[in-house]
Amino acid sequence: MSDMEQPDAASLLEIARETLQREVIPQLLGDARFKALMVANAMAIARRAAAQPPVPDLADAPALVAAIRAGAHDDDAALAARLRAHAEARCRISAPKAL
Amino acid sequence: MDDQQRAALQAWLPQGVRLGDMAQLSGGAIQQNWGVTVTVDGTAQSWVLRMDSAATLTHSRPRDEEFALLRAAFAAGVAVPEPLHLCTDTGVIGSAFFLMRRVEGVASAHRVVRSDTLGGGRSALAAELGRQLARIHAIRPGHPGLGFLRPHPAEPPMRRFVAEMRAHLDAACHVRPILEFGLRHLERHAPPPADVVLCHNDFRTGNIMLTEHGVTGVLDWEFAAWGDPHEDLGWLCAKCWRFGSPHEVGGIGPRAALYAAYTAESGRAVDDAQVRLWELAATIRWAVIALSQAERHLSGAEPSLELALTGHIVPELELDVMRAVA
Repeated sequence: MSDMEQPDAASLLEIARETLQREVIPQLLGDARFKALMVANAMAIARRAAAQPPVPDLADAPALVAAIRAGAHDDDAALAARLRAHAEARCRISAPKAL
Repeated sequence: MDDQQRAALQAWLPQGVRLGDMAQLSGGAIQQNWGVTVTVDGTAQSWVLRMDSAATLTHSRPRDEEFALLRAAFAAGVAVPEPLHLCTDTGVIGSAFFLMRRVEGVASAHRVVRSDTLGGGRSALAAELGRQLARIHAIRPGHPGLGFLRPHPAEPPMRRFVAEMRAHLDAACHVRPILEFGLRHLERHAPPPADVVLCHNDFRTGNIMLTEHGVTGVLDWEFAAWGDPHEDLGWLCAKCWRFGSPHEVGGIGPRAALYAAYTAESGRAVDDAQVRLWELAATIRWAVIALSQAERHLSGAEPSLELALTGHIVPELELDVMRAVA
């Protein structure tokens, strides 16, 4: 049993965003509507981030950058697969529609 | 625009031009646009006054250079607002400004990509965009009035692009292996130097004013420079400027229509493989811009939800990079 209050961060963001989307945004026009849609988008990203473990950074990224520039990873299919997986993992939080 | 500025503007205008109503159309941190009603020898006309914002700190292209680009484009038959009068004396209304004829239409990207009828329909509009680009690309180095543009270097434009992006990333301390992987791909596949033409460098959905009948205004000449014609074709077709629409030319229409009309108007064949390399370049350029926009929020310099959200488009752009190089 957790001592933390329920609902947790992800659930709160979810119900808050749904409320904004269903009950507030339909009553807004123009710039206020545009801003509220951005708020809903930010809450959706934060909810997905709160609901899953963080995406680990690529190991030793500065050295990797230097090696890529020097041509040490040309046609390196294994690295390409690792980089693609890293982009996909971050899209699951920031832009799941892109997957 | 206060009464004093208005009186100074009226005094500066040529004989026979009477100022009428003025209303601000858009006000960015960098420029302001004012809609101006005038009578010219008694006939009503709609103009736009474009001026620097008072507190501008950014190094934007000076108004006189923008005016010269509009003149060159207008003379080449590009659909741009006709440039009318330039004032570089900052003593008149407080900053340099110019006046141009007002053009009507829709530019908003989300409206444009949803419309099946703007510009005469999707294929017709894609073709018209090809003709517009071809006319811009007919402007070549040595063109009178454009001496302020940096001379084009001898190295291939794609290699110059790679060097510029690496310099941006290094200066901002951004460590981005995926963008680097894409840049290395461009470096290895950079085509040799070809024709050098005037590139608009931001010719995309959102910067092009349209009516049901066609293109009324190619806007935003801030980034124009000498370059390879495929740069503009790639920027226009890049997935990040399709705004969620499946149509490959800026979310508007089919690629074949663009290429065919471009070639018919310019006499220059389109190398599809080169266009696709410049689409990858476009994705990387937009990712680098997005990182720097997010940084303005993250650093505390300019807290903004819009800038903060821009940081979250980077993963999608990086996935596009990996899809393009694989």
